[in-house]
Amino acid sequence: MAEFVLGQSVIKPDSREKALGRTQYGVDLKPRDALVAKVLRSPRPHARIVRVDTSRARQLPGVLDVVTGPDTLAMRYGNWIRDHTFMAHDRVRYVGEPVAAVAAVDDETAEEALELISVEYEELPAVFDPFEAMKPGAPLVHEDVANYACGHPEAHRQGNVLDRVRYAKGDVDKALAQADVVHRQSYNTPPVHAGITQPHEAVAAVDASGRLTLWTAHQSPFRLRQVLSQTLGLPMARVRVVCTAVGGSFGARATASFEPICCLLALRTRRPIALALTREEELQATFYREHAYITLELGARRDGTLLAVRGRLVFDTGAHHDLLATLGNAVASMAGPYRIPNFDLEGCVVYTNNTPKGFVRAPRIPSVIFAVESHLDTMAHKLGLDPVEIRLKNAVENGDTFAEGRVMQNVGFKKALTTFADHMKKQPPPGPNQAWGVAAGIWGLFATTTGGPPSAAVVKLNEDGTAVLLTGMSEMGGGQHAVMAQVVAEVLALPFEAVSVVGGDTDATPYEHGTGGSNTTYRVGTTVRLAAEAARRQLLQLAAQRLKVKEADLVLEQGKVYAREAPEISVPVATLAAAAISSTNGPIMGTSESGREGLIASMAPYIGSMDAPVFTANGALVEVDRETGKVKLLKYVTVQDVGHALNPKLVEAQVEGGVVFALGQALSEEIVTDRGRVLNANLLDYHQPTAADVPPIDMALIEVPSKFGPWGAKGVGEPPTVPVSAAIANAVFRAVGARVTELPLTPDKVVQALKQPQQ
Amino acid sequence: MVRFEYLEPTSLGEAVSLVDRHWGQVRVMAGGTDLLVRLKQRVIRPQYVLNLKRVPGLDGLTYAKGQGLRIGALTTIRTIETSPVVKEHYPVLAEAAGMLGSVQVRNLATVGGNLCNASPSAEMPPGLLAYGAQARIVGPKGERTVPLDQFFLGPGQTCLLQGDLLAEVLVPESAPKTAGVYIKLSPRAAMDCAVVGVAAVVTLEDGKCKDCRIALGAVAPTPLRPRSAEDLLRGKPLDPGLRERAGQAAMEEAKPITDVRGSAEYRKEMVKVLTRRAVQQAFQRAMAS
Repeated sequence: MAEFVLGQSVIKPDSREKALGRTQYGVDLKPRDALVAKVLRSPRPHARIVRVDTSRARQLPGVLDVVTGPDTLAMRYGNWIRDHTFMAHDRVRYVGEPVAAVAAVDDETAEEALELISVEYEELPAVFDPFEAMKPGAPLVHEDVANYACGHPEAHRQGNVLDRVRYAKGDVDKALAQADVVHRQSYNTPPVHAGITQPHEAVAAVDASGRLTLWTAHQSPFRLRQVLSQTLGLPMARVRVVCTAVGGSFGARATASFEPICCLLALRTRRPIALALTREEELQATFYREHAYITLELGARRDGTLLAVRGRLVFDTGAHHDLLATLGNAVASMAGPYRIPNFDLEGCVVYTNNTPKGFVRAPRIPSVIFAVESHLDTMAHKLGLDPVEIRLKNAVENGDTFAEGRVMQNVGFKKALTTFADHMKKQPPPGPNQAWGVAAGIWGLFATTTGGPPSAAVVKLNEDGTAVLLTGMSEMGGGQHAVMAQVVAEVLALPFEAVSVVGGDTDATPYEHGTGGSNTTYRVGTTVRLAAEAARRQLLQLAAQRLKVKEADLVLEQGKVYAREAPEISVPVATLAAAAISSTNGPIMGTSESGREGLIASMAPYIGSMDAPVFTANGALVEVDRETGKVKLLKYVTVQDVGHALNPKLVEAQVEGGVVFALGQALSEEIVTDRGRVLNANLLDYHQPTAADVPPIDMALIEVPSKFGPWGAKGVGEPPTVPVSAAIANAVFRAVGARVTELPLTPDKVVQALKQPQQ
Repeated sequence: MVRFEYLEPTSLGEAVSLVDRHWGQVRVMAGGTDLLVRLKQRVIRPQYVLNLKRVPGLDGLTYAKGQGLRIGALTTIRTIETSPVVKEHYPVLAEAAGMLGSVQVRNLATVGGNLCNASPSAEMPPGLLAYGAQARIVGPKGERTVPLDQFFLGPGQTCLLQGDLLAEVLVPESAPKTAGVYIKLSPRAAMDCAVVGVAAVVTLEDGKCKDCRIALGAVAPTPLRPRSAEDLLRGKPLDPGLRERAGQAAMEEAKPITDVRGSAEYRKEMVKVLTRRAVQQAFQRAMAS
């Protein structure tokens, strides 16, 4: 099929409204009679709740309701393991855990009411360091974790260790003994927040029949509905989740946390409830990226051939864990995108009384790749090898196996590296105290699995020939709906503007697992394509009957269907769509389900393989002030394999945004805590980059198509973040010889590293 | 936000008497950029908030040759940043003003608020101290003028007594061959607090340092003048060795703490580096003037 709308950088329809500041977010949408909800949170990292007295708060004029743990069902939930309730019951496990909530007529009254609630705590021993938490006799964060419901019964759960994974092959000790150079080093990356501009906020209301609707920005309205249904004890038919405009998500909106509180108060008061978290709550008490501790030991031959790697990895998940299964991916990523014949890689996830952790863009992998690519850079330096050369020498190719067992297909790593090398040749030589750092990345989370994707879509053709797509997928702000409209338009040969999208509504749309894992275009796009193709088949079938031409001989183009050999025999799509209404088959409506069997059959040979691994090759040019340790990022180059850019401008925006997102985590972002309390729970001291901190970004996209993604598309959103910290750290090392092994690369760490003897 | 009674006096006399009457329970509001944040966070719970915006005569800059610059307490940081007079005669103040917060914040924030808030890392004090500024204070018993280096007593604490308001900052005329600089070290390129801030103003005569003032921000409970460093430089040619020793001396006077913005050790080291650089840059600018 000739590309018609695909490959065009159509403008996503919400851009103009957003640029004009007209988009309504979150509590902007609250009805006039809405109450305001506020949450009382634990000041203690680990304590037994002895007594909660809400009587004074209830008596405050303007307060309509106060809820505490005993007012809720003690139903635990969680994406991976059901280890948390939405409000503490008898025990708090982190600073910021919800203990009570109030509904009042305005913010001030609600805040005053919170102060009138008295809570008596009995302090329990707490643990904040995951290595301490693993020792025998450490305070247990969850005493009965072994009995929590978990989607992964094989998970190794013991004490505070929630999961442990190990992959090993060959004889690492022997290979390291035979290596010309062995390098061992530990790294760590601190907790960071997803940095969403719009805090978590929601509006809940109950209609006359008792049905609950929640309006919120969420990456997975269906998974959220499931949590609401479970924790509130309501059948799904009485719960509706509608995704409203999203002011940034990046994983932060893939978890349910505060939403049940909002809904519970709406159910109890029968008034609409608006609940918006403050920035302090965002940084203290929402689920964000884990603190990661990584130790690598790598052996290589003098010529740069990598022989063996031993890796140990610990994630501090805090008091709760809300990731899906990504530990295996993180552990396997300790071998990087390289062929290493001998490996012994082990990682675990540990509970502590720090804030709970969950998804942030490319969960876990930027931490791991920071270690891997810093490590490889030091190795290249020791061996006197060019950083691109050592990567090319060891790069994975089609058919190679990722350390956890999946076979990689459609690998574009060498192409990314050579494209990058060509790009770098055009760069002028760096000045004094300046250097380029190089790092590569791999994002290979999703395997092809049995049973097909957890998605469905419907494409309806209107009587005038325009179309409506129903998808459970939310528009995250990245143009996801625009790309889906392009997919439908391409299949039905419609102009982009002729397709409208209804999305992210659990009542109005079919099931969708949600956006995340960079697989919106990749997975949902394929599902939408199936639905559009079903509609197309129905259209052509009807045309064949009317025109008395075989379907195979028909062409759908520019709003009409005609016979390939006799174009004068034609019928407008609008005529067919209108005629369909009272035809034998009825109105044209394609569902993804009709093409699903064929899709699954076509993918069968690839079950268990990695169909769309995304590789990146990045370069950062920095200038380092040797005295102050200040790192100035002067320029950034990123090369990424995107499979097929269905909307090149949106792809570029994702890649550029990804680099900016990650450079904050490289240079300045860090959640600083003291006994579980966040010391920088504000945007003055939690340093996200400003526009002035962002350098010019050069980009080259390469296209090595996947098999499963629509027209070969691969995931785009997460991979750009993966190598950024390492590229910058490596540039600092090359510029002044300072190897910083702990993020972020703050000036004091650079000054410290400069005092260390050179590696 | 906490509940409070809002006061809006229309004369300086009325403002002084209200502040006097409600002393201890009143917070004075100028631009509100710090105050409102702390009210919303319920960190402070005043019974009264007194807004100065309707008090006439507290706003604006006047410069008279030979007499210097008068900065009304309600003059916005943005006014300082963009004023041609300030840029010409007191460029260090314009530089420092341009590094405070964002343009939106600078449009609201005032010099008076920045000083009375008495944050150790505040942007305006180092430059004003380096120019030898004075504070004109109006209170129930009349008015007085206090050198700015006696104005700050500790974090959030000033020499203002019951009923006192800061009315004006007076910056003396600089001698010929005077120039200065403000260097701010912070993680971000904008919208940040100083980890260390150093201002230096140098006056040259016959190639030697006739006079010099250095002021440090964020490295002690108050903005600090490292006098021993100034004494070292005064009357001498500003050669590299001397500048290095001045940096060392300033470092020894600094008493930084470790906090979320930086460690005490790093801050001390940076005082040395930045003082040396500030003196050098001020010297170069003075030579060129």
